[in-house]
Amino acid sequence: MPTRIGVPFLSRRRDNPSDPAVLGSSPTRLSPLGHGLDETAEGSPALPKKSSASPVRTGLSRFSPHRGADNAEAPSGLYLATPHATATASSTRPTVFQPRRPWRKLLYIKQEYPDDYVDDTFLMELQKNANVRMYDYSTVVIQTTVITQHLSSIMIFISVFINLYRGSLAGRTLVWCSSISTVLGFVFWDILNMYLRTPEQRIVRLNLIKGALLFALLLFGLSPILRTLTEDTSRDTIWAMTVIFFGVNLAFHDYSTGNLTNIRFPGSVSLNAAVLASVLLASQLNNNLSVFAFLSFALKWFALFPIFRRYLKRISDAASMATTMVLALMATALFMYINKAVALLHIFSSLFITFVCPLWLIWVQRYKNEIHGPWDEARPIVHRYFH
Amino acid sequence: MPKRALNICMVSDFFYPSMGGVESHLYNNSQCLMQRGHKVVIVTHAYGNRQGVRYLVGGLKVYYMPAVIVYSNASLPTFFGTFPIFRQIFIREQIDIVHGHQAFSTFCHEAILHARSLGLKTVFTDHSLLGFADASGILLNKLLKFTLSDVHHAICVSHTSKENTVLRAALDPQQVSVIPNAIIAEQFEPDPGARDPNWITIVVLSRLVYRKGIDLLVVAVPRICQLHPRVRFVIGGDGPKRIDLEQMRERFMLQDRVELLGSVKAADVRSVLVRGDIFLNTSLTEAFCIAIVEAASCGLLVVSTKVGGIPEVLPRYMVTFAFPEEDAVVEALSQAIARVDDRPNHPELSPQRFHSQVKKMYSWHNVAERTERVYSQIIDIEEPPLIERFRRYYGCGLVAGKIFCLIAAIDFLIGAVLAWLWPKEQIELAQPFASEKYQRTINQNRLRHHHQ
Repeated sequence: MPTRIGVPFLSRRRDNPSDPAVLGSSPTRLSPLGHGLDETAEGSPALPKKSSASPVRTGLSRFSPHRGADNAEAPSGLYLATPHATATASSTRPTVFQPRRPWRKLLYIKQEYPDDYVDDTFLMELQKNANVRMYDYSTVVIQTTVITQHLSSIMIFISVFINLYRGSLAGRTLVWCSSISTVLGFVFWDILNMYLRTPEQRIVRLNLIKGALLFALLLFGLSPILRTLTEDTSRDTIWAMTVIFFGVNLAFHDYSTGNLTNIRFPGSVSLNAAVLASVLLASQLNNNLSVFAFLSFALKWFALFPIFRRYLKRISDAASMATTMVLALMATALFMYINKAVALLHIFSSLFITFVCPLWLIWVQRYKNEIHGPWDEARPIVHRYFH
Repeated sequence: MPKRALNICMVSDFFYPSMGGVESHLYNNSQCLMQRGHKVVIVTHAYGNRQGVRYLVGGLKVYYMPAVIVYSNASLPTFFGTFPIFRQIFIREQIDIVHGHQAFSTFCHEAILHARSLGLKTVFTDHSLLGFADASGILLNKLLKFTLSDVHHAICVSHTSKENTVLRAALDPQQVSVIPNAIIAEQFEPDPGARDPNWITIVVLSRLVYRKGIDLLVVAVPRICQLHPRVRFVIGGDGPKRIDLEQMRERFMLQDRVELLGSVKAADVRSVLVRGDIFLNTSLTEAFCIAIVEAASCGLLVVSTKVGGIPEVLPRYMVTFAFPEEDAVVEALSQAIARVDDRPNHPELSPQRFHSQVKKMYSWHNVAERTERVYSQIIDIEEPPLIERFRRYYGCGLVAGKIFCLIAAIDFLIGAVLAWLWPKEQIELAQPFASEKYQRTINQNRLRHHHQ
């Protein structure tokens, strides 16, 4: 029942109790329409109306003495107005009457109720929060790992850049490390595929290797250009833009789908932002090999690694949890040497996302206010037997 | 009661030459209100060449205002840009009541806002249903709340639509009347000779779009054709889903049993309807659905999905309802097909009786009478002080309430500036339409035509 349809101006009533027309109510103006159409065509029994107090009908109570008087004066049959009487029926708002038949939610019959009548059944079909899902804490905790993983991977990426920038990590080392770990990842993926007999196809193929080599050569050739790309731009601008682009990457990353083959719209924005941020950072490095190493690492880290993480998540929750732990600890450990405050902040935010946010989500479910009713657009259910 | 002739201004972005439920409602309701002695002008935006002031049958004056169209015939929201011209029209035509139609119409919202700034009475009619879940729905509902906060009365076309509007705009339900649409029954008479007795013909007339449930139609047609060898389909209308229907027809080789007519002109609707025994409507959402009333008036049995306001529209002996689900639609159609064969045994189900029943249920004169009753309810309400209007807008929401107040205040100030620039006394009043002379000329012409 509509106990709190927000009505900010319920006091704004049009019916004025001192209006002489309302007080001197005559039975004829009670019917909105005259010409009595055969309402019983469907054979509905005319049940006496049971009156019950409803918040939306409070306006009626004020008139109850008159209603009673009307009832005493006129036999119920008189309330069916003649067509002649309807012309006179329009001056005031006909609120006062004792219905003879219950109101029905139909348009094709002429009912002895005004057009603005509000029945007790008003909004009866309203459903609230019909498809609200109650979440299970442990499930939500496991689901949050995708976010923590991505956050940690960005932190690791930044720490790798800082080490390269400071010269504490050589470009050559990074090339070797990233290449070997990529190859290991592919081998691991393939072995798992064979072992689990999942429908994913074998990935290590000749043309993939060819493509990777071609890409690496191209990147190597371009690295001098990329290195000097933002020479004229202030360093502060670069850092600020990098932060913005990593923010975009974090916001648009494809967390939900188990898509392993291609990157679609929101995910593509995320990947582009990450590549742009990497190019900006790479242009601050001081030798070509570092630029090449950093960019090739960036592509592997932001294009291939998320797919691998999704794959892990699909085959085992435990493996995904383990990866999360490893990544989070790695990011913290790497930042310990750079900035302890950031490392602590990272560990706390990871804990917050994983353990506090799910509680928060479950708690805010109580404020959910979904409204459904017969006015919603129906979803066509199609079985397609022939297809 | 002494009837008072009112000057009414109907405003909507949707009017002739575009065609649809709102358009026909505006036109027919205005004609009937004029017959009841009121003066009605319609304001809409210019449609291509159709600009300026035009007169339609019976002296119905239509202002085609210049406007930029943004999306599906709705004009660009300018908030205050239309105020000067609306003010001129309201004063020229000595308007008492501004009646806006359709929530998607920008003109309707703007006209109501400006009319309130000028202290005129306002009525709003909602013709469609809207959900609460998607972004466009949320935005439009907020806008509707703004407009309806300060409207004197709202009208909906079905009880379901009223529930929807009351929820969307947080209205007092007693301020909302339900006045259904209608049809001109004389234009939808049955014609038993037009149907082919060798076939049972199912007619579908609808825009071929997702919201009309064409996906259900696409899967139901081949199953019905397989189950009932005597059944054929006539499908009128055009739209993006037409390709699906054509593919279905190719795939199941139903070229001789499924006829696709393409778009059907309003004048030809009856000639398509009378070819059929059953009318099928698969809409997914519908506030009223005039199409099934037209079909029933032509004597067809109706099969329809049970959505929105449709269950309120026709009695059960005319309609077979189905849930919007493939099996249910096929089942309901099969029932209706069985009833077609059985129909000659039941004189109360004859097409002629369907027609006479529908004629009694819906007429525009009835709609106009009930609309007039709404007008007479509100015409003498005292104008609240400006601060009361602000109070109503303020209640619309934490942030929105303040924005709405700001808009209303600016509009009020612009109204004051306009009153200074173009004083009301200096605006020329429109000449009343010479309806007697018009009637005389019409009658003379008719007589002359008759003698020839």
